[in-house]
Amino acid sequence: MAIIEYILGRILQMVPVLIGVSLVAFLSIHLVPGDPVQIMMHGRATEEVLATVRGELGLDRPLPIQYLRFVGGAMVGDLGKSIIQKAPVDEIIGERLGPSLFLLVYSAVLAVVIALPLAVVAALKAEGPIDHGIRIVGIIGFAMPPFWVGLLLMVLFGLVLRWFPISGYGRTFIEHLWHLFLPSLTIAAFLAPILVQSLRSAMLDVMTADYIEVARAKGLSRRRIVLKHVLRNAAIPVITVLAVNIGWLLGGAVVVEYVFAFPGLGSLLVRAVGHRDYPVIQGLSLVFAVIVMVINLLADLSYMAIDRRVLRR
Amino acid sequence: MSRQPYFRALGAALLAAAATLAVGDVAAAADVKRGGTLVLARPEEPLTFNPFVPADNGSIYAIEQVCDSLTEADATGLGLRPGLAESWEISADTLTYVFKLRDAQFSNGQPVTVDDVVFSLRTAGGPTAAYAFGFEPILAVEAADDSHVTITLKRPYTPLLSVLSLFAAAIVEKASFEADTDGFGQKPVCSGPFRVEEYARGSSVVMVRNDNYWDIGVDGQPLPYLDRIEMLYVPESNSRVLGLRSGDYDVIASVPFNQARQLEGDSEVTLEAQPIFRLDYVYLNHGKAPLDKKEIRLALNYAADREAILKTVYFGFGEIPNSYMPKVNYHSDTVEQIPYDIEKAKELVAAAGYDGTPIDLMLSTGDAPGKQIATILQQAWQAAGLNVNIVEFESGTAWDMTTKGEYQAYVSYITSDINDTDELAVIQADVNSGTNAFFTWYNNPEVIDLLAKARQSADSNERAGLYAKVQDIAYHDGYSVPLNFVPSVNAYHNYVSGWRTVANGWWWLKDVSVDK
Amino acid sequence: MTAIAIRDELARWPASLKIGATFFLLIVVTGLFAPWLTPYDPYTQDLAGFLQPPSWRHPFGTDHVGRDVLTRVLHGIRIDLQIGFITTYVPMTYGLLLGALSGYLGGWFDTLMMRLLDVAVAFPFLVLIIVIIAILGPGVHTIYIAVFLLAWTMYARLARAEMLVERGKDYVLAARTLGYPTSRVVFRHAMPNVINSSIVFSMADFVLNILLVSSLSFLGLGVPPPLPEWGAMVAEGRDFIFDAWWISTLPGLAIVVTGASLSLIGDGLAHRLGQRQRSFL
Repeated sequence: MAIIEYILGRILQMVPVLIGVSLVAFLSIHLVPGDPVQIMMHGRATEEVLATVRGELGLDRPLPIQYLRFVGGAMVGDLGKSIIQKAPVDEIIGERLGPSLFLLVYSAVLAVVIALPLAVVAALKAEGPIDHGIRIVGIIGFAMPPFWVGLLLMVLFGLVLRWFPISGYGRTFIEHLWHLFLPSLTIAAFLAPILVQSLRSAMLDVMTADYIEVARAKGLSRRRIVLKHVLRNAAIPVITVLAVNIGWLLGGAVVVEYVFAFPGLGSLLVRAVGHRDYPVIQGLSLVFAVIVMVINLLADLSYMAIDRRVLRR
Repeated sequence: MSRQPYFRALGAALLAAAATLAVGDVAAAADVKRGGTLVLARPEEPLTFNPFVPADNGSIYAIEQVCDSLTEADATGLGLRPGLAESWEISADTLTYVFKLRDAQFSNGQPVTVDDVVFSLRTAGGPTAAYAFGFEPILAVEAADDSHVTITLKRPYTPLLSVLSLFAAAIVEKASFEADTDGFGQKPVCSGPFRVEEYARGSSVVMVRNDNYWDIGVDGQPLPYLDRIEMLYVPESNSRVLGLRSGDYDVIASVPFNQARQLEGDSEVTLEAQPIFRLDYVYLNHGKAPLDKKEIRLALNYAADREAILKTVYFGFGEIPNSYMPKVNYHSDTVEQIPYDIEKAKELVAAAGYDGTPIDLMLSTGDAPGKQIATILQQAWQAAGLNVNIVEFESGTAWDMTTKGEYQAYVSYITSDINDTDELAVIQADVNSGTNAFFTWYNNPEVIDLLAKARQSADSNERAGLYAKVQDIAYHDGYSVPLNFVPSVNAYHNYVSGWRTVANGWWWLKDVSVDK
Repeated sequence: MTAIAIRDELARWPASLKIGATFFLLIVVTGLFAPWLTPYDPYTQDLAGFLQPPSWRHPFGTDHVGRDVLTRVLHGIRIDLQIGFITTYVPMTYGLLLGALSGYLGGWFDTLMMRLLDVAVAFPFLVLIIVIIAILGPGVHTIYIAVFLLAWTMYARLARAEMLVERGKDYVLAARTLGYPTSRVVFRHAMPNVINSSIVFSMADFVLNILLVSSLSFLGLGVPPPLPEWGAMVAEGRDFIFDAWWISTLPGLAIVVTGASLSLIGDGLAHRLGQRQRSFL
């Protein structure tokens, strides 16, 4: 029961944060010069037409009224209608939320799959040439601009080997896995090096801890110690790294979205800002905030599952 | 903003074009291959299929494949041909047009009725339509009988036939549109060669053949040839080129110029560089010092090494302009070009008594060629003795500053929607046109006078002379810094036939076939 | 510090710290002497000689307006190190202060700070940066403002967490019992212990910030031309990646080398400072 109370409490805490985020998003986007109607009409429409359309969209009302209307709608799950696309904002965001989350989870899984063996090797051979080699390769993967990595993968696997398609999303789960392999690998090339280093450090710490010495004294093999104790404790930094980065990558993956022509939330946001599509920007800000907070909550819950002491503190 | 007067006396050229009804010069093989899918990758994203929601090229080019209008652009885009209107008659006072409707059907099988036409054209001229300015001279659109529509005008308005070919004058099925206007933007019901089967916002539109389309192909069977089009939104140009090479895409639009030269050498691919109604130029705000001085504006022109820009930015694609506006029908080739002459530029700067007031050269973020151009111009203008800063603004902001006159110089472009010089000549050079001479605040009474004369003239020779004079004066007044008549550069696999970019910038996919 | 003290300190440095610091020092010195290292100017164009591949005359080739890429990379050192330094250490300073105070004081201040932090973390960075850029125009200062608004959160979290641990330790309790004012206890006594993990993290943050500018440049939101900033160079060269790979790849290499040296420093510092959580990268 304590856990349910805790979760409810955390969800309650989200409310003031969401109000803060929505207010900042609303104010800042309205501070930006530029008129969505003028942009939509490409400078050809008459002043009369511009004024009529603004009136229809409610853009001529005072800002506090517009904000209250937005909040009022959001509370009953209505995020309004896109100015340029004339479709409900929740529908527009919903269409891209699935693919974006799929891409990120896929990237995270790939990153863990790549990072885990490398980190184990690096930790076991700490400060040796293999450890340094893994670090250098990691830094190259990390510091290479994502569009560069993306294009490189595209040339290699899409054009030369023709193993993977260079764009698209597919229809079935298997097709998603196939289509999104290259973009996910591009993101994983950025995530994996951070994971490797965090995991390696954590494993080194755990390996020198007392209870490992005890386990070793008990005669457990090195291999079993790594698998049983070390990896379990090393899960915490993995979760931390993923939680911090996935929230950011949700919007920040926009470069990868462009390169692979992938319909994600980042490019939707850039487009919406370009068109001053206020309802979409406001809706996206809320959705991003909710996702970041939910990911943090999930991360905290999994810490607890791993280590019950955190809850008591 | 832009108002009707510049459409007023479009004159004989357009009428002549409409009368000759140029037939498309589609690769005239009678054994054209039917069926198959065309995968087309574009850098723009269609935002809506509702033709009355004013749109960007992403939407317009897609709407053109799906919706029909009374008249339509011919295969080149330079002339007109009948669309849903089989024929028309114009009264002697040119105030009444009677259109005879073709026996056509919408993609849902419903017949195209006079009701639909009247409804669509009234909506196109309605109070919230962006292109309503084009329909302003229309007094009434009425059904004459079951197959005829009458349009009466407030005053003579020769560009009417051209305006009726705009995407914004598309004929929609009234019942579907009224039943779900928002939904119409996702799944339109029109009578064009294709219909939208699946519209995945932000990534692709799948169009399939409209079996009810009225037009006939070169093989005597109904158009279109293709069964299916996958129109993909691929914003990154490197990815488009890679996709063409890997065979994922059959056609790619907007090939970057540097890669176009490489693609030219690829034997499996055809490169198309088609002149369109587009001019890349630097907008100058004549209302802001030091650009209020003609000498400074001319110095900017003399110091701009257009040959070098054509070579390094455009990789030789295009043509050095001798005009302040795109090359539309009354363009004059005889207007003398301002040469590259840095010494002359220095003299002009000195003669203007330049006091060091800096010039902010603005560009929109993400405009890669614009960035390169700005970088080159900055150095060139500094060499002429001017202080120049490059300032970058997000495109919405840049446009806002431009329309409000809060800028000095802006690297941008203009395109013409209509095949007649009058639209842009007036919008760009007449300060009273509603856009303040397209946000330059250029004010030359002589030019305004000449433009008014040209508008009233019905004689095409006389108009040609007047427009040539305007071109000469505005260009040598340092109206702007024109850079390049830029073509549309696209590439397609050799198994694609019938591809052609029309002068307005889009393509007739109904004429395209694939033979893989 | 005397020479002996320095020698002793250096002797305690792990190898990774030595290697990283040497590389970084080399980069800094190269940046300082950049104007004298090549015969070219980073801004002067040679339109006739554009897109030249690497050669003896132009070891890194020339770019799309004929500028020497090596010269621009070397001049870029100053700009990028400055960007990295300011975007990392300014937010770190007040992030640390706020986090440490929050952890030490607790109560309403802590609650307020944590909610503020939640908003900053949950607010999409991309919206913020685009909005600020739309208002002010792109540029180094715009990037600073956006980063300043959000980047303090990681340091505040680290400092708060460390402070929660430090607060309960004997020496802080002793200092309080002796009647020292709160500020003195926090900033003179506990702070040195709190700051270590942030210093280690800042090395990774430094690289992340340079990469951020590179990503922003890709979206056209980086520094305006003709500034020879690495991220902007990488982004400007991307249209030429297939016919002139050097324009974008070699500045990218500069980012990698700088990143590697900072990562080694971070790892070494973690060792030297006895951090439980070692390097972040």
